[in-house]
Amino acid sequence: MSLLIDRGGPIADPWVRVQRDEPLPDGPAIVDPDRLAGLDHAPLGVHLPNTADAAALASEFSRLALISIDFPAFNDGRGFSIARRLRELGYTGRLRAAGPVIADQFAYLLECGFDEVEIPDALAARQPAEHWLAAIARAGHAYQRGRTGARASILDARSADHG
Amino acid sequence: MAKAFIPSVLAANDLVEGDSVYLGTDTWVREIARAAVATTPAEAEALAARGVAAERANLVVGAYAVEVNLAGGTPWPIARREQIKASRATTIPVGPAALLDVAA
Amino acid sequence: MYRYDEFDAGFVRARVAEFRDQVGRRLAGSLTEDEFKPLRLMNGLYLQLHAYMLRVAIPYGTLSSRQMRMLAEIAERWDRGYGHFTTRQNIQFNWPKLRDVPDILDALASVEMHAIQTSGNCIRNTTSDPLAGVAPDEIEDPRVTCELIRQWSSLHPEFTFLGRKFKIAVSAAEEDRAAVATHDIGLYIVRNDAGEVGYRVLVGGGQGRTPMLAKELRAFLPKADLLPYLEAALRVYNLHGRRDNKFKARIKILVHELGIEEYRRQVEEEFARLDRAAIAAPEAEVARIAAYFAPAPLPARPAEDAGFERALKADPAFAAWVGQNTHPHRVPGYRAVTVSLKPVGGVPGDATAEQMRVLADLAEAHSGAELRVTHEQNIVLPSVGLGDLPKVFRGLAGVGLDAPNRGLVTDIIACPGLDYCALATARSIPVAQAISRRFGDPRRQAEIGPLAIKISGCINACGHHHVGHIGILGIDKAGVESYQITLGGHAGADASLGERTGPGFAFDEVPGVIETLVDRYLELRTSRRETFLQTYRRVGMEPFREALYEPAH
Ligand code: HEM
Ligand code: SF4
Repeated sequence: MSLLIDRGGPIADPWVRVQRDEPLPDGPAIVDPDRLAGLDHAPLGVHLPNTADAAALASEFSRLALISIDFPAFNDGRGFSIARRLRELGYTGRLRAAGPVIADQFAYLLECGFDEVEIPDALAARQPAEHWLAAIARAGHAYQRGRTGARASILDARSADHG
Repeated sequence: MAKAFIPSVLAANDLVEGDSVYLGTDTWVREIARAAVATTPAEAEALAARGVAAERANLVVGAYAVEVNLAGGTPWPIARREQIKASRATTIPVGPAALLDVAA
Repeated sequence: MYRYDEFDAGFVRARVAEFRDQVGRRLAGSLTEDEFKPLRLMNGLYLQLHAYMLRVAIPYGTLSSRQMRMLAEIAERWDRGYGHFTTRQNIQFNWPKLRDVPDILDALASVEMHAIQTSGNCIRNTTSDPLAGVAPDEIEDPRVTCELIRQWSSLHPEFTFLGRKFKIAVSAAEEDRAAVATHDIGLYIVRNDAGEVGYRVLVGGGQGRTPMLAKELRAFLPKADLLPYLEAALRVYNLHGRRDNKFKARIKILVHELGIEEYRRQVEEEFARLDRAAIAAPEAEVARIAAYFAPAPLPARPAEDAGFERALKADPAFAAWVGQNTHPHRVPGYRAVTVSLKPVGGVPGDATAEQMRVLADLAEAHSGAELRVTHEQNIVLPSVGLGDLPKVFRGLAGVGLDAPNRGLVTDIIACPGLDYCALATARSIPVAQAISRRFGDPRRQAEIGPLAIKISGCINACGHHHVGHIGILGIDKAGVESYQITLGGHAGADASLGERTGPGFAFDEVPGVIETLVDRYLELRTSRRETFLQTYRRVGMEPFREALYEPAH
């Protein structure tokens, strides 16, 4: 029971999170990292705890269509750095933030490399999709460089201004 | 042997104003002298429940029980921190300060 | 000083609009207090003992006269007529209402100020040398680096939900006036053997319940690598810093548990992987910022001024103040002035709206319309011509800001303590006031010489007690305030942490305890030139302990 949102608004979730020992369904399946080795399934996704070492997953990137990163609480920011690392290591598939993150974090999530956010229903009831879209609409500019996703870089805009 | 119950009142901060407030018989009040006193565990639980409801209703934040002494006829906190809070003694005009003496 | 361009202004305006919206959603109930709290904290809004408290950022402690006037206006219009300047070079307002805060933030934005990231588990206001740009002993103005960090750290998408707060300090001078070693990351601007300017990077300093001095992470970091390197250092902390225990969540604990070598290895590995060019500020941007800090062209003045010399001779009070509260300036004929916010018996760091306006006016008339806040909770007028000093002194005296006590026993640092702070276990302001009154006589203060007393109202150490020559920590002992004394702390380049004397003392005993320690020092010192700290470092704890606990009859 959850709501899935990307920058365009709510989207359908084709993925099934497979619990520990459950058999795999036919379609897109998200498994735990310890089940990856030798698993022959497509499309394949993995759900990482936010203590995971992104670098250890690098050899699997080519067969992963989705990586979901766990956010146990919105104020536990480890997932932001894991996402950045995955992108820097060359992962180009879909990245999902899963957990009770809040609308005010949407722009930051996108900038760290996430594509979509999966939030629990209870939270979605208080913070419906419009809040999320409004949050990125008003996010404005950012000072950092080297990130895309939501806010344009002020430093880059200044360089453009000055030629 | 069960520990003797210490009377308490319920303190919190007003959500909008931020002022420290106490739960009175009907509404939240600024003065601890007008706070509703719990003299039994059941009464303390009832105050706490009203506190939770008031937090849910977005009236106050951070409700908690404050142990009080009733010797003076009205409730007065036992802990130094709560005495200072209840006396609002910190409205210190700058300069040579006129910090009220907090009753010990 | 730095001026906002359209982007900075837009950024702050957007942030205020966002917070206005968040406050609206909080009042309407779509945000719970649990969700709202980190958002309000990221905008500097605390809930304290009696009321909300708004902490306003004063980036690296630099303020214009116009900004100081706005602080005065905010104090009058939305608070109770005063503000509190802090050891973090910020200002705190103690009585704002939640519903007024968006308006206060708008008022701040109109003078290029904000409260962003003055609280919460994010990168806080970068602090620096209050004499930046005017000190004769500096390599370059450290505020260029500070401003780069201010921008880079503002709403950083990756580092806004860290395990704990994160504080960075920068110094470029020989004398460390920014307590660099007590910060999560400390940067010394240095020159290497090849003559290039770069950074010596320290990491893992902090006060709180486990005080630690920062360790060297990099002996020399080229300037261009600043932001990518910080990014790598923060990422390792964000990923691996402890989150299970708030008291162990600062980077100092991570560095301590991993060991500096392992932490360094991980940072360097991360740094090697980063796309440095994509993260670093473009050269043109660095130059743009640096231009704002180019030394102001001060009108040439003679190195000596007859009017000034006459005033020195005629007015001993003025002479004492000049001797104690002014500093050499890189330009001959000028001084930097420390305005003490420690009148005898006053509240350390508090200033009324009227005092703020007088400071703003004096700065405008005599110091290029610029002011600084120091981590000793004083104000600096950075560039005053010798001939203007008498006027400045008279102006300050008119509002009780002429105390000639910078660095002396009454120049006490004190946190808000139990008079304001929800976390406090004891009062600190009244302790400071009582000590200040005890040593009120200016001749006695001068006789004692440099002595830094620092007071915290709980183990969090906001009052820097660990690095006080005499540190005072107020704790709660079975419902009664008790004060532990430490000796020998110091915040300069040769920083040290204080050592406890022994059992604590009652509230009323503290001034007498300080007097005993001072008297002992006066007996022990080899000459008037040996300071309290030097004496302590020479003779150690024992003679002081004896004086406190085994007084001879
Ligand atoms: C009044 C509300 C305040 C609260 C709730 C508060 C809270 C805290 C806490 C919890 C810590 C410990 C951090 C840790 O060890 O991880 C701390 C440290 C500190 N605070 Fe405050 N503080 C307050 C006011 C101030 C003021 C007024 C100042 C400046 C005068 C200040 C400056 C500092 C400094 C310098 C430290 C120690 C350095 C470090 O972070 O390790 N704080 N504060
Ligand atoms: S040291 Fe303690 S009492 Fe003082 S301001 Fe910090 S948290 Fe509050």
